[in-house]
Amino acid sequence: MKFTSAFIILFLPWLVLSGKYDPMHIGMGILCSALVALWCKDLLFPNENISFKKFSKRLIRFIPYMCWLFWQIILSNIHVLKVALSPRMNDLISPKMVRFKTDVTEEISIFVLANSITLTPGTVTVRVEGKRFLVHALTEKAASGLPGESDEMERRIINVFEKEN
Amino acid sequence: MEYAAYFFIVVGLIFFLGTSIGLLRFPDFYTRMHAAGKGDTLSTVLILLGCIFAAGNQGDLTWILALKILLIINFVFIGSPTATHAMMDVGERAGAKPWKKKGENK
Repeated sequence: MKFTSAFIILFLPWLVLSGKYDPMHIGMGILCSALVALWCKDLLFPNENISFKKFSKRLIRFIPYMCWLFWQIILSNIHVLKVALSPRMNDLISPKMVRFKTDVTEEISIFVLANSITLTPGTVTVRVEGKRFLVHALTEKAASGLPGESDEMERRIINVFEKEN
Repeated sequence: MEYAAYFFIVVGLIFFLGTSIGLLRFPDFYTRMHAAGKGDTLSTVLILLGCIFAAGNQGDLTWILALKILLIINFVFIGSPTATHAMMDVGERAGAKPWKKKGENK
């Protein structure tokens, strides 16, 4: 199971990046992907108990989250752009360190949460220790979108990764 | 097609300009990392999307080219926040002082 998933994950980028579809190139791709998948499958999937069904379900639910995140990125980028160009910039920004404890439990969702916080401009994850986050926020408005204040991002991540049905 | 290419590239450049101006104007290390690290994620993505449309406009867009550009976008999306986070973390460990508003106590 692990081998097949690793093989697919390695072989699809090969097809995209090589761009040549004669038997020799595809054969080399199959050979290389199979060898690497054989050797490195435990690196790609360190925990044993993830089933293919669970994985694909998460992947499908991840797509709407990506769209929502992208929209948030655009909105907050415009916000930061406004702040950067405003002549009264020093009044608008109020940088501060924010600490909060998250409700998400699994490692993958903590990773996605940290990365999402960093991706949206105005907030950067400085450190994650267990469930405690240390986040630097640029303005009040950016800080108000953080999980400590509004739980929308967290709720969406829990929807994607931790709901089992 | 042509106008979509222009639109995406110009909007990307505007975001890049804002990023650079922010980088110069913000007061301390952390706020500058905000401008430098993230404004360019969105603008890179927009410019790459513009490149897809520009290639389509010239008639040499293949699906393989579009997929390759999407792959670049994917890596920028993963790599850029990670690098920003790493630099912020190291800066905090090294003891860079966050800038405070005047009259605001720690």
